[in-house]
Amino acid sequence: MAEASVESAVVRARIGPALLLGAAMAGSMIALALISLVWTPYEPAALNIRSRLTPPGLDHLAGTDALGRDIFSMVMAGGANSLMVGLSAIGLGAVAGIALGLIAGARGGWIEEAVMRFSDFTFAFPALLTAIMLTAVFGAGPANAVAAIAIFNIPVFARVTRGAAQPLWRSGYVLAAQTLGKGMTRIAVSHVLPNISALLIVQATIQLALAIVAEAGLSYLGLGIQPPDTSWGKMLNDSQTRLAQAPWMALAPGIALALTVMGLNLLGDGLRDRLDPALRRVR
Amino acid sequence: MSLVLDNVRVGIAGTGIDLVRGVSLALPPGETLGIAGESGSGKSLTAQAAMGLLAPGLRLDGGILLDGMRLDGAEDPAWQGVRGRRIAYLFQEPMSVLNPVQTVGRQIADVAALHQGLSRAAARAEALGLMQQVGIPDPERRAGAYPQSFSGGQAQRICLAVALAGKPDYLIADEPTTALDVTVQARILDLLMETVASRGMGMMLISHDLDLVAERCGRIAVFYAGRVVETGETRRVLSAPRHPYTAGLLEARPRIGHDGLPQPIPGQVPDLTRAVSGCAFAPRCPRATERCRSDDPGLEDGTACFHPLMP
Ligand SMILES: Nc1ncnc2c1ncn2[C@@H]1O[C@H](COP(=O)(O)OP(=O)(O)OP(=O)(O)O)[C@@H](O)[C@H]1O
Ligand SMILES: [Mg+2]
Repeated sequence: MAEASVESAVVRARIGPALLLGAAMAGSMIALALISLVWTPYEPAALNIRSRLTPPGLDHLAGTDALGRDIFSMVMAGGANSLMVGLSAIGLGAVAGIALGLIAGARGGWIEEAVMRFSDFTFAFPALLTAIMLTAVFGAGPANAVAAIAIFNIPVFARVTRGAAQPLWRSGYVLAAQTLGKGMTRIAVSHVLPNISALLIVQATIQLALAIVAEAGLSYLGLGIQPPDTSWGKMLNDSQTRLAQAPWMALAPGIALALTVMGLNLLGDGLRDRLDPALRRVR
Repeated sequence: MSLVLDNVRVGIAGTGIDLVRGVSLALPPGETLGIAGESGSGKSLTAQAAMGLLAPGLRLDGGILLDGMRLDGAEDPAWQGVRGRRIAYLFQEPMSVLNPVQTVGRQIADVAALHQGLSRAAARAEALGLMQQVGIPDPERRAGAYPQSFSGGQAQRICLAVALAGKPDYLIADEPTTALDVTVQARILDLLMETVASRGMGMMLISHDLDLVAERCGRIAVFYAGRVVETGETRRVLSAPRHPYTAGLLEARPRIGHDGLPQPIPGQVPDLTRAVSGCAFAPRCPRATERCRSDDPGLEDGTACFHPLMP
């Protein structure tokens, strides 16, 4: 059937190897982060000067840092913080961006023009640099890191939403919904959004990977997560002065970051490939 | 009490081009009005104008009145209380107007909730009742299915259920069976006629097939080049057509038990993007005179012709 929906395309999708690998990589890191909320091998912030700079071994799976903290526990807890910042930023950016994209498509005219010019304007700045500038001006900390990353996701979601929704605004069922007396908001939420949701989920997966990298960058520069809390980026920063002496300090957060980001990208690409026939239709 | 179009003109905005050139129609409740005419004669544009849903880039002149209330030029909120609640619309392609990612039950129930103010449970019960009425077997089970799992005929039945969910007084059906198998067409039309009759609704049934509307509708209006050229009781129009175009259409249809080949009308439909002077049918009309080419015949006595056929 020519009018196969995006959703049924997802359901019918065969699970490919890239998708599976990506899900496993990102999934295991996310699982570790979630477990850290209830249990970690050691208290992540607990200092233990006697066992400082212990190489990886049976006692400390990923070794300890200069203050004797267990790096594996810190990677788990830091992952939770990184994910929290990434997910909040994507959540905020997606909600605002999707709303703007839907309004632009529904209203057209100068409103659409204004939304798209705003997108171009935001796109014109290198995201990470501006995030650094924003946190530098408004102060370091997780809330500002979330805001800075979220702002750069708004135009991404606005554009994807507007582009995917464009043919739908002229589709038979939107016209039919109008003949039934439904208002534009109702049509946007109950007819347009559900038909592009699969595409938006793919985009969100890929944006989440970018957001986690951005958070790591900000925390590495000391602008994100603040002590005593930790995050992968902050751990990488801590490791840099001891790189020759204790390379494991960089290894564990580096691997965790790489696995998560690569995993999310593979997952997103895999889902996108599966959706391809539907994607061709909405383009 | 009726849906009235008063000298409706639909044109391309920013140009002098008119695609619908002054159509006046009245549809009282309980009446079925058939609209017939060749492809491109402006039937759909007229219907869309009556719903206030012309595509962007088109301009509307003339009046649209519902029970005496003026709708042309009304704001969106006023229209939203009319669309679906007072006037419902049935489309040619049932599959493309149902939302592919919503169950059909939900699509019917949503409209019932919106226009009848029903609770979720009551709206769902209403949806099941409507599915029963439009002849979907086993509504309990089918309500949870997505549109893709229905055949074209069943999908049009679902569309009818959606249209009825707001308890409208008028139904505009624009070629509701053209996309369906011939065997299914008659059954869907029967269902339509029964439904509007039992609910006392007024229906505008649009088709390019004169026979189809003539068989089912009490009155008909024949469209030509964006105009009504003849209108009246179906029986009168069929037995004693006054406009030469109607007469030509009747000659042109193949009939069983008739000697001789059907005689198609010679010539072509006029190009409406150019100015039309006089009667648009004059170039094809065997009865045309100088006056037909220069003056515009208005609709009088149910026909727009200077030289009507008289029995
Ligand atoms: N949005 C538009 N812009 C410009 N021209 C249009 C537009 N919509 C329709 N038209 C033209 O207006 C004329 C009348 O169209 P309409 O759809 O009303 O015809 P119709 O009688 O319904 O024909 P059919 O039997 O093919 O459905 C056609 O020539 C069509 O090409
Ligand atoms: Mg049409």
